Amino acid sequence: MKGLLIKDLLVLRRYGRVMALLLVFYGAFALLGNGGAAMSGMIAVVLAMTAVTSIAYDEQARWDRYACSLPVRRSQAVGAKYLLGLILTLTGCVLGLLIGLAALAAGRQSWEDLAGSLIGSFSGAVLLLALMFPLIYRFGVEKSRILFLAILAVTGAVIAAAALTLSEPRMGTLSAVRLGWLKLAAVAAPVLSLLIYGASFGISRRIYGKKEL
Amino acid sequence: MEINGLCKTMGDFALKDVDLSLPRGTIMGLVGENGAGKTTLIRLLLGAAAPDRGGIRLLGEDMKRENPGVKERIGVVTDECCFHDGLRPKDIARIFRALYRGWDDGAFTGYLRQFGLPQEKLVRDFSRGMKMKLSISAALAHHPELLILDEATSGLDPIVRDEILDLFLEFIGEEEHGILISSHIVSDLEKAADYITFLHRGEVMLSGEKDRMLERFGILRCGAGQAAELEPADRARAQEGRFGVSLLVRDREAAARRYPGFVIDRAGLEDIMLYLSKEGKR
Repeated sequence: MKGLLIKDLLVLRRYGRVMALLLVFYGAFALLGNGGAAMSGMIAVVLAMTAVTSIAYDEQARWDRYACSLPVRRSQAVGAKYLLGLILTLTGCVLGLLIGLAALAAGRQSWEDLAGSLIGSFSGAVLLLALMFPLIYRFGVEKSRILFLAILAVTGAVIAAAALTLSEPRMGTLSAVRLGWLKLAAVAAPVLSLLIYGASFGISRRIYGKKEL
Repeated sequence: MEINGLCKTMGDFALKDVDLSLPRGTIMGLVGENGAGKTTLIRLLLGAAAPDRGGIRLLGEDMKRENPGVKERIGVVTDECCFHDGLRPKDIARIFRALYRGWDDGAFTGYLRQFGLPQEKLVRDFSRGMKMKLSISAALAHHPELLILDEATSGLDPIVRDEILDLFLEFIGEEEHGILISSHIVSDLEKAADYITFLHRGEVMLSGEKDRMLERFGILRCGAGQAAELEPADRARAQEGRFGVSLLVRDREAAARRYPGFVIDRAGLEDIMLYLSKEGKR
């Protein structure tokens, strides 16, 4: 599995320059604008998505069929991708934290915003990968992108509909949620997303285990 | 390598009851037209697809379940280089060092040097021949006992093909080693293989020792008038051409006794493949 992870990191190396540019872009926005927290959070999501790019590169090189000849179990191949997703997400969070700290020092954002943004983006990125990986293993990268966009569109529509049906007094009740509950959510969100990520790994492993390559 | 009663249906193609055996110290050539089932068979061997029926044993081990231990002892080269464009040979060494316990950096560097492949060049800048040589270097550098080559020499010029075939012959010098090589370039197999298996439309039409095949098989030729003297079964298999009628015979001496006065030439592997293929289509 270590070899596969090294392969993925070496293949994504060429993506490094694009990432560095993005980092400069987000950093500049965070330091010069008012959306520092959002920018810090974006990096984790963008980096996490490069795990999907690495599967696209594998498809392009027809690596999967070749990998059947290597001394690696299919479950390890899937595990390497999930581990890569986590490593990239965490790297994104660390970079986001650095940018956030710079924005904090420049007085552009608060501690609470930064913490909320990082926890939110970590959980969001992990959930995105947890949803995308099984789709990709089942349908391939191209089809999954379309499916994923469709899922996002439906989810967005449901949330919008829910927001519209909530009356103003109810919204008022929601905004009055106690700070304690928010703190609990801040701890629960990453833990829950990691549990879902684990379950997603189980599903992907089963799909890939039966797949004809 | 032992394959028993292997069956696999994929869409409108079916591999039917394939039985094969490759003893150590020998090279088996898997020959057949495009779509005959060579790649499907190799996919089944590697576990890229699951057979509907039948069994596979590689290096003495059952391959029903994933077996990374056996894969440690196998080297594989496919018709396409599967290394990513952005990698360099030295990256491949780094990856494979972590994948194979038996990876030998010295051997890999030696093969690269022998083939004139630069360590620092990106795979995307390699020619097809160079990519194939890189794949072969990677397949050999963990000292496998069994090499599985799927159309590894296709699309290469004769000089490179010859160079690569020499390397395979050197590999087979170790009596514990074995090679399964699929190709539709029959001349390569004629040069290197000890055994030949001819696949046609998913079925084994012929399998055996190459030298014995070349010694026994023949092409009987006669004019259209003389063809009437052929036995009905032979006449049914005979193929008409511009200069008369020809027929593949499995035992030249027996055919010469049966048809004295007929011309019976030795048959090359390509002749055998072509005639069997045409007979199979009838």
